[in-house]
Amino acid sequence: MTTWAVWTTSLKTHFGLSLARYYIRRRDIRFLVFVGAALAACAGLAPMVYLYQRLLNTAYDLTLPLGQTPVVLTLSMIAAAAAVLFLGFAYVMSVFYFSTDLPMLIALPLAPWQVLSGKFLVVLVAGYLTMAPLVLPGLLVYGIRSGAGGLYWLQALAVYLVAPVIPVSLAAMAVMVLMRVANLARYKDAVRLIGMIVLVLAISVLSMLLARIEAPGREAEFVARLLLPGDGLIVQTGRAFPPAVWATRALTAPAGAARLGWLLALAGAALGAAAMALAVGQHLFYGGLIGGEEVRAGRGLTDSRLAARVRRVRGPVWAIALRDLRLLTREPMSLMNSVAMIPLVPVLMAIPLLAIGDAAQPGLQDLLLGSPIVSRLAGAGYMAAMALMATGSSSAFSREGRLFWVSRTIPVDPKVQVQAKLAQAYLIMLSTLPVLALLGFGVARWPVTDFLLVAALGMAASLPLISLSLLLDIMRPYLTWQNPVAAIKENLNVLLAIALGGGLMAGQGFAVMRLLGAGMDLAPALLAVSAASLLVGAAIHAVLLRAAPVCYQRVEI
Amino acid sequence: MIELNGLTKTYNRGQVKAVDELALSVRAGEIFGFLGPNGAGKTTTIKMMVGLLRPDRGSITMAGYDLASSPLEVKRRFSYVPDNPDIYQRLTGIEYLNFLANVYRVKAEEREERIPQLLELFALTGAVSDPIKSYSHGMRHKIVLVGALLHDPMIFVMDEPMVGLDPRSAHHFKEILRDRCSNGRTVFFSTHILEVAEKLCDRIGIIHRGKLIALGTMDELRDQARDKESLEKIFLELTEA
Repeated sequence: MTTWAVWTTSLKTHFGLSLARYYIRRRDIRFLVFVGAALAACAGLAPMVYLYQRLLNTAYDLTLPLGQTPVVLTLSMIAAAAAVLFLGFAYVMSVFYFSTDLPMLIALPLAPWQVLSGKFLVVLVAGYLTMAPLVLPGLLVYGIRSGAGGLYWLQALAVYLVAPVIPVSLAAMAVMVLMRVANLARYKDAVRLIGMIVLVLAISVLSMLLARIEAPGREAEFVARLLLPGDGLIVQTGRAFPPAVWATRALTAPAGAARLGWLLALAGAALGAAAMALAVGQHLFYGGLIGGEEVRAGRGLTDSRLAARVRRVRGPVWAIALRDLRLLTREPMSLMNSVAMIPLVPVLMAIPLLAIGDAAQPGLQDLLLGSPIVSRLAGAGYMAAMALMATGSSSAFSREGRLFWVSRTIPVDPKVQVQAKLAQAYLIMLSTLPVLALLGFGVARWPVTDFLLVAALGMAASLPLISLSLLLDIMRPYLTWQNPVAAIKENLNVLLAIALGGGLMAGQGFAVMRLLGAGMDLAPALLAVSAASLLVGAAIHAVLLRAAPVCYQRVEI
Repeated sequence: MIELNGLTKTYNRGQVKAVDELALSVRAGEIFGFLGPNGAGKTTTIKMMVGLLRPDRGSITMAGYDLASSPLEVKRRFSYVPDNPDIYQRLTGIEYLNFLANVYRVKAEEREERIPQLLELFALTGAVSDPIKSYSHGMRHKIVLVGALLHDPMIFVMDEPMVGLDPRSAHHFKEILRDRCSNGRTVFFSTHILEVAEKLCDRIGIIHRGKLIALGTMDELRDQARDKESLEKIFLELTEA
């Protein structure tokens, strides 16, 4: 009964269920605004989901002659597990260790596992939402195209409910160990951030090693094994995450005992993983939690140093940008999502390429070195993509949370405050330059002028994306979050910005390709698209400046 | 210095009147105490005064400027101290103060003079380079007060400014307020500590269920009540259900 109370209260507080019911009961417009934003985010995701289901349909067509169409399910399960696991690290850390209700929960007469199970449930429900756009298309494509019966759909529901338990449990255990270790360290935040990066990289490398193709000289044997047995391709695809194979078999094995057996095996493994996570939590959870918020005291300031610090006068734009940047970079989870991911993403993308083995490297080098266009576009595209994905701008206002009252009461025009947010976003963008330099000078051997040109194109292409992200966030900032990660992870504005900005980016890439296709040289084509991007960016920015005072005025805290 | 005219704020489509046709004026050099039971409308009034909530009706004029039409002119002239001092946890005390000094455009020489002085007065000098996260509740409150005093505003609008202050800091703070008001500054604050209101305020307003039910000096309030022994008795009598 007590545990049940913890579970329901955790879900109610985290997902705002009680508040939603209150709004509905009072017919408060705020609930409709939330529903509208959720629908808009779904609509924003629709193009990506459409492309994804096209991909799955193609996979179905290709594997039909081999009789291995269930690989569609394996693929979607692996994609979902990867998403839940990677996003799970940050989410578990924020929900388990930085929720505002923890001081109250710790003081209650509850065992650590009881508190933990409530938090686990919250992450699990978030996992269902995360995997929906990845698993549902797979289940639908296979179910509809294979003409599956009623039992398939029932078991699909069961598989869907069980699927995220294992990745969430793995993320929970890894984070609990990390936080326990970090709590012993002097520089807790630094250890947490570094530990998180190491975890993400370690999981990528591990899955790469598991999925790595057979030893040289045995390729023919490998291909034969892939094609001949009924599920060789499925097994090979699922090597990085075997429960994906079990889930596939739980849906596609011959109906009866075999299929039920796989479902039970999957459910058993999930239950075992969850139980293990709770058992680990019983020993480690409070050890990583209690005292985790303690910070080192400084050494104080001498009179002369205090005077020197005080004398540094800055304008409002720089003062606000600096405040935002400091707050962003000192919150480990925000730093991870908004800055650390900028160099991390190319590394994560490189790992699967390494998994293909030495055979892929000459091809990759040919692609980057053989065509000057590809490497330069890739460089500029990387910068623009990071401006969008790094969430610094799409959560710029939301991250202020309840402290938005400060921005509302300081004597600085909202238009000026928006300029500060833009400056902050571009300061974050500077962290793309080392990766760009590595790509340009280390791999593709660009001359310095080309490096500068690509950097300028990347900056120009980012302006509409940053302005659009800021506009979306200021129109309906999410300020009532309970922990800082929620300002990014649970912020529909971030999702919308990525969806709409992705469309803009695709347009930029398409424009470059069309200009090159029409016979224009690379440099003028890049310059033309830069100029067009700046124009579009300036137009969106003008809308943003007009909207800012109205939006600031509208927010009531 | 402060003029509130017909200030009204409702919730739930007008069903709940948080503040109802509130009208009052506070003169320059005056310390004005704003009292009322929980949920009476004190914080709502203060949030409307500083621009955090939009009134449904009525107007707010501060230092001669209308808040609705000249918000920046008004904001330059007041300091706001909220009831919750949980400000930027991951900034150090000095970073927070420098941020405020920058956005209020306080000159370097004024900062050099005021910041060390105020830090010393509130016993924060040793902690100013530490993250605010490491501060106790009282220390956070004090750093917010230092921030509010930093640009020497014409008007102080404060929500429960004495809560969480140790007796020495509370004493210093009251002295500063008295000193500033003798130089023509104006203080508007809400409080539940009736003793503070009784001793510190030039005039007191009592709000109950969104309406101003009493306004005046202590002597004038005594005239309005049957039991004239103390402000506490007056308050209890006036706010009886």
